[in-house]
Amino acid sequence: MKDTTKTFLGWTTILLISLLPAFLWFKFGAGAEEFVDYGSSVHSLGEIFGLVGMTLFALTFVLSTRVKEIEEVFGGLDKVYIVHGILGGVALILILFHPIFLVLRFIPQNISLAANYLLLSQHLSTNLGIFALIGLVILVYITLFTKMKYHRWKFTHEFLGLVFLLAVFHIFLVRGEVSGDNIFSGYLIYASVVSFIGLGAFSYSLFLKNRMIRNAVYTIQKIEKNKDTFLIELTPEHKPLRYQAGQFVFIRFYNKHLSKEAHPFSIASKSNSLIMKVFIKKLGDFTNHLGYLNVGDKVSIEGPYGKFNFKNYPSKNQIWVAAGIGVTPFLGMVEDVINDKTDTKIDLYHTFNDESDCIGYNSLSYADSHINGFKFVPWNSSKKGRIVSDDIKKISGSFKGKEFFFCGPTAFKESIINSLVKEGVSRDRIHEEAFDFR
Amino acid sequence: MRFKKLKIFVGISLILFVLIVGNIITFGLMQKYDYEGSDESKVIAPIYANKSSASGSNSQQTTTASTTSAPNNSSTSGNQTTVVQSNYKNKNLIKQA
Repeated sequence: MKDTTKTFLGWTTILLISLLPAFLWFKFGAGAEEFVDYGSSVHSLGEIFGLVGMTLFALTFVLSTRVKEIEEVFGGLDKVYIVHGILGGVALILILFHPIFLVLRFIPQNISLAANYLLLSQHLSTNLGIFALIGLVILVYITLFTKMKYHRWKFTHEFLGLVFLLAVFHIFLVRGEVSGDNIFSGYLIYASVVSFIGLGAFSYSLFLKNRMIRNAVYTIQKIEKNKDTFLIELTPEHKPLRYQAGQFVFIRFYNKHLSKEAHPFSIASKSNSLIMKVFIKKLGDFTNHLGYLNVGDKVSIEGPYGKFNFKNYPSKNQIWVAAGIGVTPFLGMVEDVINDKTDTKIDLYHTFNDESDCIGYNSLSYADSHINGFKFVPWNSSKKGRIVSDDIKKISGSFKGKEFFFCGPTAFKESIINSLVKEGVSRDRIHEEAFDFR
Repeated sequence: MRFKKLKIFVGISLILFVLIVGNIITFGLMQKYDYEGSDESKVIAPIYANKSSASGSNSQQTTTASTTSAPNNSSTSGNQTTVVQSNYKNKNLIKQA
Protein backbone atom coordinates (compact mmCIF):
# COMPACT_ATOMS: atom_id res chain seq x y z
CA MET A 1 0.00 0.00 0.00
CA LYS A 2 1.29 3.46 -0.87
CA ASP A 3 2.41 5.75 1.93
CA THR A 4 -0.15 8.39 1.00
CA THR A 5 -2.93 5.79 1.09
CA LYS A 6 -1.87 4.60 4.55
CA THR A 7 -1.71 8.19 5.78
CA PHE A 8 -5.15 8.88 4.32
CA LEU A 9 -6.57 5.83 6.10
CA GLY A 10 -4.89 6.94 9.32
CA TRP A 11 -6.48 10.38 9.14
CA THR A 12 -9.85 8.86 8.23
CA THR A 13 -9.69 6.62 11.28
CA ILE A 14 -8.87 9.60 13.51
CA LEU A 15 -11.76 11.57 12.02
CA LEU A 16 -14.23 8.73 12.55
CA ILE A 17 -13.15 8.15 16.14
CA SER A 18 -13.27 11.83 17.01
CA LEU A 19 -16.72 12.30 15.46
CA LEU A 20 -18.10 9.16 17.11
CA PRO A 21 -19.33 11.00 20.25
CA ALA A 22 -21.12 13.51 18.02
CA PHE A 23 -22.81 10.61 16.27
CA LEU A 24 -23.75 9.09 19.63
CA TRP A 25 -25.13 12.46 20.73
CA PHE A 26 -27.35 12.62 17.64
CA LYS A 27 -28.41 8.98 17.77
CA PHE A 28 -28.90 8.41 21.50
CA GLY A 29 -29.26 11.94 22.82
CA ALA A 30 -31.50 14.86 22.08
CA GLY A 31 -30.36 14.83 18.48
CA ALA A 32 -31.62 17.03 15.70
CA GLU A 33 -34.61 18.04 17.83
CA GLU A 34 -32.30 20.38 19.70
CA PHE A 35 -31.55 22.46 16.64
CA VAL A 36 -34.88 24.24 16.48
CA ASP A 37 -34.07 27.53 18.08
CA TYR A 38 -31.05 29.66 18.82
CA GLY A 39 -30.74 28.80 22.51
CA SER A 40 -30.86 25.04 22.28
CA SER A 41 -28.81 25.03 19.05
CA VAL A 42 -25.84 26.86 20.54
CA HIS A 43 -26.08 24.82 23.74
CA SER A 44 -26.03 21.61 21.69
CA LEU A 45 -23.03 22.83 19.70
CA GLY A 46 -21.29 23.53 22.98
CA GLU A 47 -21.88 19.97 24.12
CA ILE A 48 -20.71 18.51 20.82
CA PHE A 49 -17.56 20.67 20.80
CA GLY A 50 -16.73 19.40 24.27
CA LEU A 51 -17.29 15.77 23.32
CA VAL A 52 -15.23 15.89 20.13
CA GLY A 53 -12.51 18.02 21.73
CA MET A 54 -12.13 15.59 24.62
CA THR A 55 -11.87 12.65 22.23
CA LEU A 56 -9.17 14.38 20.20
CA PHE A 57 -7.34 15.20 23.43
CA ALA A 58 -7.30 11.50 24.32
CA LEU A 59 -6.07 10.57 20.84
CA THR A 60 -3.07 12.90 21.17
CA PHE A 61 -1.82 10.72 24.02
CA VAL A 62 -2.26 7.60 21.92
CA LEU A 63 -0.15 9.12 19.16
CA SER A 64 2.66 9.99 21.55
CA THR A 65 3.10 6.37 22.70
CA ARG A 66 5.54 5.80 19.78
CA VAL A 67 3.90 2.48 18.94
CA LYS A 68 5.41 0.98 15.79
CA GLU A 69 2.03 0.20 14.21
CA ILE A 70 0.98 3.86 14.36
CA GLU A 71 4.38 4.87 13.00
CA GLU A 72 3.86 2.51 10.09
CA VAL A 73 0.48 4.09 9.26
CA PHE A 74 1.80 7.65 9.12
CA GLY A 75 5.15 6.88 7.52
CA GLY A 76 7.51 7.57 10.39
CA LEU A 77 7.52 8.82 13.96
CA ASP A 78 8.36 12.34 12.80
CA LYS A 79 5.08 12.35 10.83
CA VAL A 80 3.18 10.91 13.82
CA TYR A 81 4.31 13.86 15.93
CA ILE A 82 3.05 16.26 13.29
CA VAL A 83 -0.36 14.56 13.46
CA HIS A 84 -0.15 14.74 17.27
CA GLY A 85 0.49 18.47 17.09
CA ILE A 86 -2.38 19.10 14.69
CA LEU A 87 -4.82 17.07 16.82
CA GLY A 88 -3.70 18.91 19.94
CA GLY A 89 -4.30 22.29 18.32
CA VAL A 90 -7.73 21.31 16.99
CA ALA A 91 -8.70 19.83 20.38
CA LEU A 92 -7.76 23.11 22.04
CA ILE A 93 -9.85 25.14 19.59
CA LEU A 94 -12.92 22.95 20.13
CA ILE A 95 -12.49 22.98 23.90
CA LEU A 96 -12.07 26.78 23.90
CA PHE A 97 -15.43 27.24 22.21
CA HIS A 98 -17.17 24.54 24.27
CA PRO A 99 -18.01 26.86 27.23
CA ILE A 100 -18.64 29.82 24.95
CA PHE A 101 -21.33 28.04 22.98
CA LEU A 102 -22.84 26.65 26.17
CA VAL A 103 -23.44 30.14 27.56
CA LEU A 104 -24.34 31.91 24.32
CA ARG A 105 -28.01 31.16 24.87
CA PHE A 106 -28.02 33.54 27.86
CA ILE A 107 -26.76 36.42 25.77
CA PRO A 108 -27.83 39.16 25.60
CA GLN A 109 -30.83 38.80 27.88
CA ASN A 110 -28.96 37.45 30.89
CA ILE A 111 -25.26 38.16 30.58
CA SER A 112 -24.71 37.95 34.31
CA LEU A 113 -25.87 34.35 34.27
CA ALA A 114 -23.52 33.63 31.40
CA ALA A 115 -20.71 35.27 33.37
CA ASN A 116 -21.48 33.16 36.43
CA TYR A 117 -21.21 30.05 34.34
CA LEU A 118 -17.70 31.03 33.28
CA LEU A 119 -16.45 31.87 36.76
CA LEU A 120 -15.53 29.64 39.66
CA SER A 121 -18.48 28.60 41.79
CA GLN A 122 -19.48 25.97 44.27
CA HIS A 123 -19.88 23.44 41.44
CA LEU A 124 -16.80 21.24 41.43
CA SER A 125 -17.49 19.94 37.93
CA THR A 126 -17.37 23.34 36.25
CA ASN A 127 -14.46 24.46 38.41
CA LEU A 128 -12.49 21.42 37.28
CA GLY A 129 -13.41 22.21 33.69
CA ILE A 130 -12.17 25.77 34.12
CA PHE A 131 -8.87 24.61 35.63
CA ALA A 132 -8.41 22.02 32.88
CA LEU A 133 -9.09 24.63 30.20
CA ILE A 134 -6.65 27.12 31.70
CA GLY A 135 -4.00 24.40 31.98
CA LEU A 136 -4.56 23.32 28.40
CA VAL A 137 -4.30 26.88 27.09
CA ILE A 138 -1.07 27.55 28.97
CA LEU A 139 0.63 24.31 27.97
CA VAL A 140 -0.37 24.43 24.29
CA TYR A 141 0.62 28.11 24.17
CA ILE A 142 4.06 27.18 25.52
CA THR A 143 4.38 24.48 22.86
CA LEU A 144 3.30 26.52 19.87
CA PHE A 145 4.38 30.07 20.67
CA THR A 146 7.46 29.94 22.87
CA LYS A 147 11.03 28.86 22.27
CA MET A 148 11.55 27.24 25.62
CA LYS A 149 14.61 25.07 26.13
CA TYR A 150 13.79 21.52 25.09
CA HIS A 151 14.16 19.80 28.44
CA ARG A 152 12.04 22.47 30.16
CA TRP A 153 9.41 22.33 27.44
CA LYS A 154 9.24 18.53 27.70
CA PHE A 155 8.80 18.80 31.47
CA THR A 156 5.91 21.25 31.09
CA HIS A 157 4.33 19.21 28.31
CA GLU A 158 4.02 16.21 30.58
CA PHE A 159 1.59 18.19 32.74
CA LEU A 160 -0.96 17.70 30.01
CA GLY A 161 -1.60 14.35 31.68
CA LEU A 162 -2.73 16.17 34.80
CA VAL A 163 -4.85 18.53 32.69
CA PHE A 164 -6.48 15.52 31.05
CA LEU A 165 -7.18 14.03 34.49
CA LEU A 166 -8.96 17.24 35.54
CA ALA A 167 -10.97 17.07 32.32
CA VAL A 168 -11.89 13.46 33.10
CA PHE A 169 -13.31 14.47 36.48
CA HIS A 170 -15.15 17.30 34.75
CA ILE A 171 -16.84 15.05 32.19
CA PHE A 172 -17.91 12.55 34.84
CA LEU A 173 -19.23 15.10 37.32
CA VAL A 174 -20.82 17.61 34.98
CA ARG A 175 -23.80 15.53 34.09
CA GLY A 176 -25.11 15.10 37.58
CA GLU A 177 -24.09 18.43 38.99
CA VAL A 178 -24.73 21.05 36.36
CA SER A 179 -26.08 19.67 33.14
CA GLY A 180 -29.71 18.83 33.57
CA ASP A 181 -29.86 16.47 30.63
CA ASN A 182 -28.42 13.05 29.98
CA ILE A 183 -26.30 14.34 27.09
CA PHE A 184 -26.91 10.94 25.51
CA SER A 185 -27.74 7.41 26.68
CA GLY A 186 -24.53 5.58 27.30
CA TYR A 187 -22.66 8.82 28.03
CA LEU A 188 -20.95 7.29 31.04
CA ILE A 189 -19.68 4.44 28.90
CA TYR A 190 -18.26 6.94 26.40
CA ALA A 191 -16.70 8.96 29.24
CA SER A 192 -15.15 5.82 30.71
CA VAL A 193 -13.73 4.67 27.40
CA VAL A 194 -12.21 8.02 26.44
CA SER A 195 -10.77 8.44 29.92
CA PHE A 196 -9.27 4.97 29.90
CA ILE A 197 -7.72 5.50 26.48
CA GLY A 198 -6.26 8.90 27.29
CA LEU A 199 -5.01 8.11 30.78
CA GLY A 200 -3.83 4.67 29.73
CA ALA A 201 -1.80 6.02 26.83
CA PHE A 202 -0.34 8.80 28.98
CA SER A 203 0.62 6.38 31.75
CA TYR A 204 2.22 4.06 29.24
CA SER A 205 4.31 6.85 27.69
CA LEU A 206 5.42 8.38 30.95
CA PHE A 207 5.81 5.44 33.30
CA LEU A 208 5.61 2.07 31.59
CA LYS A 209 7.32 2.40 28.22
CA ASN A 210 10.83 2.72 29.62
CA ARG A 211 10.26 -0.34 31.79
CA MET A 212 8.67 -2.41 29.06
CA ILE A 213 11.00 -1.48 26.22
CA ARG A 214 14.57 -1.86 27.25
CA ASN A 215 16.68 0.89 25.74
CA ALA A 216 19.98 -0.15 24.24
CA VAL A 217 23.05 0.99 26.16
CA TYR A 218 25.96 2.27 24.10
CA THR A 219 29.34 3.76 24.97
CA ILE A 220 30.95 6.78 23.34
CA GLN A 221 33.95 5.47 21.48
CA LYS A 222 35.04 8.59 19.65
CA ILE A 223 34.23 12.30 19.61
CA GLU A 224 35.34 14.54 16.75
CA LYS A 225 34.67 18.24 16.83
CA ASN A 226 34.62 20.37 13.72
CA LYS A 227 33.72 24.01 14.34
CA ASP A 228 30.26 23.67 15.89
CA THR A 229 29.50 20.12 14.81
CA PHE A 230 30.28 16.95 16.73
CA LEU A 231 30.70 13.51 15.26
CA ILE A 232 30.02 10.94 17.95
CA GLU A 233 30.70 7.27 17.42
CA LEU A 234 28.91 4.79 19.68
CA THR A 235 29.48 1.11 20.31
CA PRO A 236 26.98 -1.22 21.99
CA GLU A 237 27.44 -2.56 25.49
CA HIS A 238 25.33 -5.61 24.77
CA LYS A 239 23.20 -6.56 21.78
CA PRO A 240 23.47 -3.92 19.03
CA LEU A 241 20.36 -2.26 17.67
CA ARG A 242 19.06 -3.25 14.26
CA TYR A 243 18.43 -0.17 12.15
CA GLN A 244 18.35 1.22 8.65
CA ALA A 245 20.55 4.11 7.56
CA GLY A 246 18.47 7.28 7.59
CA GLN A 247 16.39 6.35 10.61
CA PHE A 248 16.61 8.32 13.83
CA VAL A 249 16.94 7.39 17.48
CA PHE A 250 16.34 9.10 20.81
CA ILE A 251 19.61 9.33 22.72
CA ARG A 252 19.98 10.06 26.40
CA PHE A 253 23.51 10.99 27.48
CA TYR A 254 24.66 10.09 30.97
CA ASN A 255 26.90 13.01 31.78
CA LYS A 256 26.41 15.34 34.72
CA HIS A 257 26.71 18.42 32.50
CA LEU A 258 23.92 17.40 30.15
CA SER A 259 20.22 17.15 30.90
CA LYS A 260 18.81 13.64 31.13
CA GLU A 261 16.21 14.24 28.44
CA ALA A 262 16.39 12.00 25.39
CA HIS A 263 16.82 13.90 22.12
CA PRO A 264 16.22 12.67 18.55
CA PHE A 265 19.22 12.34 16.22
CA SER A 266 19.54 10.93 12.72
CA ILE A 267 21.79 7.91 12.30
CA ALA A 268 24.72 8.76 10.03
CA SER A 269 26.18 5.26 9.69
CA LYS A 270 25.28 2.48 7.29
CA SER A 271 22.46 0.07 8.08
CA ASN A 272 23.12 -2.20 11.07
CA SER A 273 26.66 -0.96 11.50
CA LEU A 274 28.13 -2.00 14.85
CA ILE A 275 29.50 1.50 15.29
CA MET A 276 26.60 3.94 15.25
CA LYS A 277 27.50 7.45 14.16
CA VAL A 278 25.58 10.63 14.83
CA PHE A 279 26.41 14.17 13.84
CA ILE A 280 25.17 16.81 16.25
CA LYS A 281 25.31 20.52 15.58
CA LYS A 282 25.33 23.12 18.34
CA LEU A 283 21.89 24.62 18.00
CA GLY A 284 20.54 25.16 21.48
CA ASP A 285 20.97 24.79 25.18
CA PHE A 286 21.45 21.03 25.18
CA THR A 287 23.80 20.79 22.22
CA ASN A 288 25.87 23.69 23.53
CA HIS A 289 26.98 21.43 26.39
CA LEU A 290 28.22 18.61 24.17
CA GLY A 291 31.77 19.76 24.76
CA TYR A 292 31.53 18.14 28.20
CA LEU A 293 31.09 14.70 26.73
CA ASN A 294 33.92 12.23 27.19
CA VAL A 295 34.96 9.03 25.50
CA GLY A 296 33.62 6.27 27.71
CA ASP A 297 30.40 8.07 28.66
CA LYS A 298 27.32 5.88 28.49
CA VAL A 299 24.21 6.63 26.48
CA SER A 300 20.86 4.91 26.25
CA ILE A 301 19.19 4.68 22.87
CA GLU A 302 15.51 4.27 22.12
CA GLY A 303 14.45 3.36 18.62
CA PRO A 304 15.06 3.27 15.75
CA TYR A 305 12.23 5.23 14.23
CA GLY A 306 11.41 6.64 10.81
CA LYS A 307 11.22 5.31 7.28
CA PHE A 308 13.67 7.64 5.63
CA ASN A 309 15.69 5.21 3.54
CA PHE A 310 16.03 4.89 -0.23
CA LYS A 311 15.55 1.10 -0.10
CA ASN A 312 11.96 1.57 1.12
CA TYR A 313 10.95 3.02 -2.24
CA PRO A 314 11.01 1.38 -5.62
CA SER A 315 12.42 3.98 -8.01
CA LYS A 316 15.89 3.32 -9.36
CA ASN A 317 16.36 6.98 -10.12
CA GLN A 318 16.53 9.19 -7.03
CA ILE A 319 17.32 12.77 -6.09
CA TRP A 320 18.43 13.49 -2.53
CA VAL A 321 18.47 17.07 -1.28
CA ALA A 322 20.00 18.04 2.04
CA ALA A 323 20.47 21.39 3.74
CA GLY A 324 23.24 21.88 6.31
CA ILE A 325 23.18 19.31 9.10
CA GLY A 326 20.27 17.67 7.25
CA VAL A 327 22.84 15.69 5.27
CA THR A 328 23.38 13.28 8.20
CA PRO A 329 20.74 10.66 7.28
CA PHE A 330 22.12 10.65 3.74
CA LEU A 331 25.67 9.90 4.93
CA GLY A 332 24.61 6.51 6.20
CA MET A 333 22.60 5.85 3.06
CA VAL A 334 25.66 6.63 0.92
CA GLU A 335 27.61 4.04 2.93
CA ASP A 336 24.81 1.58 2.09
CA VAL A 337 25.14 2.51 -1.59
CA ILE A 338 28.88 1.81 -1.46
CA ASN A 339 28.40 -1.38 0.53
CA ASP A 340 25.51 -2.85 -1.45
CA LYS A 341 26.84 -1.79 -4.87
CA THR A 342 23.29 -0.77 -5.65
CA ASP A 343 22.23 -0.05 -9.22
CA THR A 344 20.06 2.88 -8.12
CA LYS A 345 21.05 6.12 -9.82
CA ILE A 346 21.35 8.82 -7.16
CA ASP A 347 22.04 12.55 -7.31
CA LEU A 348 22.79 14.03 -3.88
CA TYR A 349 22.58 17.80 -3.48
CA HIS A 350 24.02 19.24 -0.32
CA THR A 351 23.34 22.92 0.20
CA PHE A 352 25.22 24.88 2.85
CA ASN A 353 26.20 28.47 3.66
CA ASP A 354 29.78 27.88 4.71
CA GLU A 355 32.36 25.36 3.42
CA SER A 356 32.89 24.17 6.98
CA ASP A 357 29.18 23.19 7.10
CA CYS A 358 29.69 20.69 4.32
CA ILE A 359 29.73 17.66 6.59
CA GLY A 360 30.97 14.43 5.07
CA TYR A 361 32.41 16.23 2.03
CA ASN A 362 35.30 13.77 1.68
CA SER A 363 33.22 10.60 1.86
CA LEU A 364 30.62 12.03 -0.51
CA SER A 365 33.28 13.10 -3.01
CA TYR A 366 34.82 9.62 -2.76
CA ALA A 367 31.45 8.03 -3.52
CA ASP A 368 31.00 10.40 -6.48
CA SER A 369 34.31 9.35 -8.02
CA HIS A 370 34.06 5.63 -7.27
CA ILE A 371 30.40 4.67 -7.51
CA ASN A 372 28.75 4.36 -10.87
CA GLY A 373 25.45 6.19 -10.92
CA PHE A 374 26.17 8.33 -7.81
CA LYS A 375 26.60 12.07 -8.27
CA PHE A 376 27.46 14.46 -5.45
CA VAL A 377 26.53 18.13 -5.99
CA PRO A 378 27.79 20.43 -3.24
CA TRP A 379 25.89 23.73 -3.35
CA ASN A 380 27.31 26.73 -1.54
CA SER A 381 24.24 28.98 -1.13
CA SER A 382 26.31 31.99 -0.15
CA LYS A 383 27.96 31.88 -3.59
CA LYS A 384 25.35 30.31 -5.84
CA GLY A 385 22.19 31.49 -4.13
CA ARG A 386 19.42 29.31 -2.73
CA ILE A 387 18.92 26.08 -4.66
CA VAL A 388 15.59 25.81 -6.46
CA SER A 389 13.89 23.09 -8.47
CA ASP A 390 15.09 24.58 -11.78
CA ASP A 391 18.70 24.18 -10.67
CA ILE A 392 18.03 20.52 -9.91
CA LYS A 393 16.35 20.03 -13.27
CA LYS A 394 19.32 21.53 -15.13
CA ILE A 395 21.73 19.10 -13.48
CA SER A 396 19.65 15.95 -13.02
CA GLY A 397 17.33 16.26 -15.99
CA SER A 398 13.63 15.54 -16.14
CA PHE A 399 11.81 14.73 -12.90
CA LYS A 400 9.74 12.03 -14.53
CA GLY A 401 9.86 8.71 -12.68
CA LYS A 402 12.26 9.99 -10.02
CA GLU A 403 11.96 9.65 -6.25
CA PHE A 404 12.84 12.67 -4.10
CA PHE A 405 14.25 12.75 -0.57
CA PHE A 406 14.56 15.93 1.49
CA CYS A 407 16.10 16.66 4.85
CA GLY A 408 16.63 20.12 6.28
CA PRO A 409 14.78 23.13 7.69
CA THR A 410 11.05 23.24 7.01
CA ALA A 411 11.03 26.47 4.99
CA PHE A 412 13.77 25.15 2.73
CA LYS A 413 11.96 21.89 2.07
CA GLU A 414 8.52 23.43 1.61
CA SER A 415 9.57 25.81 -1.14
CA ILE A 416 11.27 23.13 -3.24
CA ILE A 417 8.57 20.52 -2.59
CA ASN A 418 5.84 22.97 -3.60
CA SER A 419 7.61 23.74 -6.86
CA LEU A 420 8.10 20.02 -7.56
CA VAL A 421 4.40 19.38 -7.02
CA LYS A 422 3.58 22.27 -9.37
CA GLU A 423 5.78 20.63 -11.98
CA GLY A 424 3.74 17.47 -11.74
CA VAL A 425 5.79 15.34 -9.33
CA SER A 426 3.40 13.12 -7.40
CA ARG A 427 3.36 13.58 -3.62
CA ASP A 428 3.88 9.81 -3.33
CA ARG A 429 7.34 10.26 -4.77
CA ILE A 430 8.43 12.98 -2.37
CA HIS A 431 9.78 11.93 1.04
CA GLU A 432 10.96 14.18 3.76
CA GLU A 433 12.52 13.83 7.13
CA ALA A 434 10.61 16.12 9.48
CA PHE A 435 13.76 17.14 11.29
CA ASP A 436 12.02 19.73 13.40
CA PHE A 437 8.82 17.94 14.30
CA ARG A 438 8.28 19.98 17.40
CA MET B 1 7.81 27.20 9.93
CA ARG B 2 6.38 23.98 11.29
CA PHE B 3 2.66 24.17 12.14
CA LYS B 4 2.34 27.64 10.62
CA LYS B 5 -1.37 27.37 9.75
CA LEU B 6 -2.12 25.64 13.04
CA LYS B 7 -0.46 28.44 14.98
CA ILE B 8 -2.53 31.00 13.09
CA PHE B 9 -5.81 29.20 13.82
CA VAL B 10 -4.95 28.57 17.45
CA GLY B 11 -3.77 32.15 17.86
CA ILE B 12 -7.01 33.54 16.41
CA SER B 13 -9.05 31.17 18.59
CA LEU B 14 -7.20 32.25 21.72
CA ILE B 15 -7.71 35.92 20.93
CA LEU B 16 -11.42 35.38 20.24
CA PHE B 17 -11.75 33.33 23.40
CA VAL B 18 -10.16 36.04 25.53
CA LEU B 19 -12.27 38.75 23.91
CA ILE B 20 -15.55 36.88 24.15
CA VAL B 21 -15.08 35.49 27.65
CA GLY B 22 -13.60 38.75 28.86
CA ASN B 23 -16.57 40.72 27.58
CA ILE B 24 -19.12 38.27 28.94
CA ILE B 25 -17.56 38.35 32.39
CA THR B 26 -17.11 42.14 32.35
CA PHE B 27 -20.61 42.97 31.21
CA GLY B 28 -22.08 40.19 33.30
CA LEU B 29 -20.48 41.51 36.47
CA MET B 30 -21.45 45.06 35.53
CA GLN B 31 -25.04 43.92 35.08
CA LYS B 32 -24.91 42.12 38.40
CA TYR B 33 -23.45 45.07 40.30
CA ASP B 34 -25.88 47.47 38.64
CA TYR B 35 -28.73 45.29 39.77
CA GLU B 36 -27.41 44.90 43.30
CA GLY B 37 -27.34 48.65 43.60
CA SER B 38 -31.01 48.88 42.75
CA ASP B 39 -34.01 48.66 45.15
CA GLU B 40 -35.15 45.27 43.90
CA SER B 41 -32.07 43.58 45.26
CA LYS B 42 -33.16 44.46 48.81
CA VAL B 43 -36.15 42.09 48.64
CA ILE B 44 -35.31 38.85 50.35
CA ALA B 45 -36.79 35.69 48.87
CA PRO B 46 -36.87 32.22 50.33
CA ILE B 47 -34.28 30.00 48.74
CA TYR B 48 -34.94 26.29 48.39
CA ALA B 49 -32.38 23.56 48.09
CA ASN B 50 -32.48 22.36 44.50
CA LYS B 51 -29.97 19.64 44.22
CA SER B 52 -31.13 16.90 41.83
CA SER B 53 -29.55 14.64 39.30
CA ALA B 54 -30.87 13.73 35.87
CA SER B 55 -31.65 10.03 35.81
CA GLY B 56 -33.77 9.91 32.69
CA SER B 57 -35.10 12.12 30.01
CA ASN B 58 -38.52 12.28 31.65
CA SER B 59 -37.40 12.93 35.19
CA GLN B 60 -38.94 15.82 37.05
CA GLN B 61 -36.48 18.49 38.10
CA THR B 62 -36.95 21.00 40.86
CA THR B 63 -35.74 24.53 40.48
CA THR B 64 -34.84 27.28 42.81
CA ALA B 65 -37.10 30.26 42.68
CA SER B 66 -35.71 33.72 43.06
CA THR B 67 -36.98 37.21 42.74
CA THR B 68 -33.60 38.52 41.66
CA SER B 69 -33.96 37.49 38.04
CA ALA B 70 -36.66 36.30 35.75
CA PRO B 71 -36.53 32.72 34.59
CA ASN B 72 -35.56 32.15 31.04
CA ASN B 73 -37.92 29.83 29.26
CA SER B 74 -37.59 28.26 25.91
CA SER B 75 -39.48 25.27 24.60
CA THR B 76 -38.33 22.71 22.14
CA SER B 77 -40.61 20.00 20.84
CA GLY B 78 -42.75 19.90 23.92
CA ASN B 79 -39.90 19.96 26.43
CA GLN B 80 -39.86 22.85 28.80
CA THR B 81 -36.45 24.26 29.41
CA THR B 82 -36.26 26.36 32.51
CA VAL B 83 -33.23 28.24 33.57
CA VAL B 84 -33.36 29.96 36.88
CA GLN B 85 -30.77 31.88 38.76
CA SER B 86 -31.30 31.50 42.48
CA ASN B 87 -28.75 34.09 43.49
CA TYR B 88 -25.54 35.31 41.96
CA LYS B 89 -23.50 32.63 43.71
CA ASN B 90 -25.70 29.68 42.83
CA LYS B 91 -25.49 28.53 39.26
CA ASN B 92 -28.12 26.03 38.33
CA LEU B 93 -28.93 25.25 34.79
CA ILE B 94 -31.53 22.58 34.89
CA LYS B 95 -33.58 21.21 32.09
CA GLN B 96 -37.14 20.28 32.98
CA ALA B 97 -38.91 17.80 30.83
